[in-house]
Amino acid sequence: MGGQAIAHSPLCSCFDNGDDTITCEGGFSDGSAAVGMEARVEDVVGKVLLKGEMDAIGEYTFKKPELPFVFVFDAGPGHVVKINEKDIQ
Amino acid sequence: MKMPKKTSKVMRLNFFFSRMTPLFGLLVLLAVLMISPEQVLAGDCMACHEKHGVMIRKPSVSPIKLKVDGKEQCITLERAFAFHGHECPGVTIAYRAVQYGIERLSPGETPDRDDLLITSRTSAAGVKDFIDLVMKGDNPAKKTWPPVNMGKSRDGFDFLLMKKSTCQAVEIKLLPENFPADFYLLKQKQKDKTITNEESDRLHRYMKKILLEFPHVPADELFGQPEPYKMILWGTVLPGEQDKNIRKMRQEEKKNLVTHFTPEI
Repeated sequence: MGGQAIAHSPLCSCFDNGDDTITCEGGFSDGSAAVGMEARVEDVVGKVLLKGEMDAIGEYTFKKPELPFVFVFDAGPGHVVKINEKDIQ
Repeated sequence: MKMPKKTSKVMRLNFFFSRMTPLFGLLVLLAVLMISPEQVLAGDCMACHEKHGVMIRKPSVSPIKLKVDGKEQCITLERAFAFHGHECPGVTIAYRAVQYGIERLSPGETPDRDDLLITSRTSAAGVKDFIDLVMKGDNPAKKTWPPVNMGKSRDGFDFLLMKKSTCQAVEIKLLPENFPADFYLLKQKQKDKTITNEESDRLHRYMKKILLEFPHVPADELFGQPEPYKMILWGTVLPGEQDKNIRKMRQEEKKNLVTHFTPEI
């Protein structure tokens, strides 16, 4: 885990793109983007449906699963943000 | 030292530990010696304290009471630290400032959260997280992003609290002399890994002072005695409007970064 991830608290927001895809943006409290950090889409019991990395601008776009899901932005131990599907704007 | 051939399991274990303990002790000593003060203080305080067995004294300070959806809610400093992730000077300052502001605006009352508006002139993570906890609740998915290029400075601990029902506001600003002039300079050096051991110690002392002493310092010594004043508000901020605008700023900033990015050859 990078120093950036340790020093600042993680932030994450997800947006419904209106085309059956979701974009989640990860970053840190100093405004920096979460480039290369782990991104996961899990079902409500924690089973991993999709796994990837935040891209060069700290975003991860995925096709909206059929099941209820939770997006997990994982910047290391103690720096994990989970976004419930109902909190997606 | 030879181990006897016929031994019980307990004896064999005792023998193993008697041989391994000095080696283990040596390894621990080496690990401690290899950690410079810079490394010790550079990261997350909580992780560092846990690693070195430092127990943190939890400052006891009265909770902030608010009515949320008609029910009284108590926010303690401990809960605020937990929401932020660790003990943090920004959380402590914002806690005392918001608590004092509420006391000045609604003496002896428990205000309704929906009746309050709060502004901050700093985007310090601890401050943002604390005000998020007060105004939005404890859902980490709803944490506020900092507006692009909103800096942090010792003059930024300046909060405006407004009470809509009485058209009153009060400005709570940390008196600059209460905040070290070189705090953010040292934080930057820490981030850049150019901080010296002496500077690390100084930064650690600053943080310790804020965390352990600020919760107990009388509010007027921290913030003076600002008087609430009557005010008129114009304009409308729709739910989510600010988040949308901040995201737009971030997107523009990212576009600029991508446009101006020159790959290394």
